[in-house]
Amino acid sequence: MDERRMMAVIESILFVSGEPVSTKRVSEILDLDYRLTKKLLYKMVDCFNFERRGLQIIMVDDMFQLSTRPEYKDYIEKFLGTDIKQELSQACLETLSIVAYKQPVTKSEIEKIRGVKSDYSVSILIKKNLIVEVDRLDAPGKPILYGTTQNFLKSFGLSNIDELPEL
Amino acid sequence: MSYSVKLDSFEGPLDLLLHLIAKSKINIEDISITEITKQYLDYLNKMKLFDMEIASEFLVMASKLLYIKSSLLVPKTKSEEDLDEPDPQQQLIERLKEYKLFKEVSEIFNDYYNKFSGICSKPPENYEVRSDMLIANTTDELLEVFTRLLVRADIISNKQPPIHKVNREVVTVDSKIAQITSILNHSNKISFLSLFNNTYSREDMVVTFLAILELVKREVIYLKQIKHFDDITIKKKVS
Repeated sequence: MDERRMMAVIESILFVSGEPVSTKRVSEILDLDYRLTKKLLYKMVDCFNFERRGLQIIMVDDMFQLSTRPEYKDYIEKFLGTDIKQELSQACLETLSIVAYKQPVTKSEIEKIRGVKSDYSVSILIKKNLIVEVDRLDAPGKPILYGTTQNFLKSFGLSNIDELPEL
Repeated sequence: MSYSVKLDSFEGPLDLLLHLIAKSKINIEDISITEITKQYLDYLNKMKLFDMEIASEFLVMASKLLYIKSSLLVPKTKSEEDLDEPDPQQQLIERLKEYKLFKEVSEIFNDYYNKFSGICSKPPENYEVRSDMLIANTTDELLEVFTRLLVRADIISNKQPPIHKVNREVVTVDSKIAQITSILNHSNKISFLSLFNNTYSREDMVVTFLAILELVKREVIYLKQIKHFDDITIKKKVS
């Protein structure tokens, strides 16, 4: 199968899946070596950008997903008749920043840094699937430790947690 | 010095302190506790004037500031100096610096979020999972198979209109184990997929899956695949 044909197959798979697909799964379908598959996927990400396609391929950890581009959200919202853009309150943003850089972290550690109670912002962030319980601290009361999710990476345009800007 | 009370809401006492410090155009390192305490208390008083509710954290900070101020007025005795206790003023400065850092990060995060969260993707296509498509050689694949079943169930249950509400009894792993064991008493082997045939409730499926895993762990059953892509067979282990 030539490269263009393979990329066409990948595009079809990504479309049908809707959800992120792993490199491993793509290599199985194409019956292609893992490394080569990964190279091909990276190439596709670039192609979509270079050709200024309306859709993009987002890459989070080892998973690839087809999605729309943020620059066209106004038209999409007009078409859907609804808001797709999300807003986060200042409290949520602060809490999220702390979790992102200090994870795993407990609620009381978050509150110590912010100087205020953070129950509400923590629960909103969990609801929005931006943070999640990752473990419990081995201490009295076994408080919950929080970390960020894949969805967090996606919503902030990061491929992995190491891409966080330097403090 | 007169200044108008900003009726913007501050995220907390640290936020307010940072604002007062920025207003005075000094570095956090160089704050004068006396001056900052005065400004802080002035602000709280003005909030009271405007009948604004003051959260308890603000009051706690007020007392902390007064404590720091008073501790600076009292000369330290030699023995106290030797104790090497953390300096409360320095502690406050460190806290303010750390909070300021995260405040700045949250602004960057806001930009990122505005830029990248406005995207959509499609839900997965609703397809019938053919049994010859399932692969399960390792626990990884078993999990993938099960995840796909869950996804399909989610789609189907979302599309089916609710007919009537039935009181659901709580399904336990133990009851599922009992169920599977009794099926196995009648026949030596059962199909993995058949256990999921009429369950579209996520809860049911998860509990069934857990029951199967538990039975494998207990070495009551074992899972077998004759051919690649076949349905998995659950067989009773003969001791």
